[in-house]
Amino acid sequence: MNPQHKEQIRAVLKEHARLTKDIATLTDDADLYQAGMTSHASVNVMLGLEGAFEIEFPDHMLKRSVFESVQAIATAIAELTKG
Amino acid sequence: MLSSVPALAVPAMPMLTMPVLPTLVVGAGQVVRAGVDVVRISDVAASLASFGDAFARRLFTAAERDYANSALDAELAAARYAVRFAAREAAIKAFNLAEVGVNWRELEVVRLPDGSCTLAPSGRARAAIGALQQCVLSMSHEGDYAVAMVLAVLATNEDKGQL
Repeated sequence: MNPQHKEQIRAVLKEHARLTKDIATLTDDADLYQAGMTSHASVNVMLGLEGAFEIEFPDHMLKRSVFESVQAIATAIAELTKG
Repeated sequence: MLSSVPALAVPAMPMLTMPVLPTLVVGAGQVVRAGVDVVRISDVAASLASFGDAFARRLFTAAERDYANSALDAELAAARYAVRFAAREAAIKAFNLAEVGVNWRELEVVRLPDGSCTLAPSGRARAAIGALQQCVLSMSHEGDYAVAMVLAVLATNEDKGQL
């Protein structure tokens, strides 16, 4: 996994997730929904990630769990950018 | 001088002895599932401003976009988008689709000739819902909030006791 990806993911989350806590204080495994991300904000995060990584999340990845943590998002992006 | 106010007599509430479930058994082979969601209209307006067409096209069908964009001003357009987003989230809860992975456009809100709205699941979403017998959608918006509720009547698999 590209180590820069997590920093890019955190930058997108800072801009779009509308968290009640500073993203810098959250671990990679922290639950973003518990940290205040709404379902609507998660759509903004998805669109922000698609722009930042020049990817498109396929329908089967549009699950709550794919966007629940920095680690989960990084795993999904690694799958979409491999090869 | 303030007059004294007699204390209200509050009747003792009965203890709940049954678990509160999102699924209600209504008859032989039928259950009702409910989902509700509330969205800030200003948040949706901000998404439309930030992502433009990408936001609207990703979430809403062409018919929904045409209707929302026919509003007389941007505020009403955002409210129309917001209630439709709330309807999708309510449907995802009622149909238990959060971990299925479905395209939001497959949970379309269809406006009928009389102005009422109904939900028209399609594609992967429709397949995941199962034996849907009836679906009721109610939406409203006031001030900065849009809300939607979905009630779904589903047939159960009586052999397995599951949906």
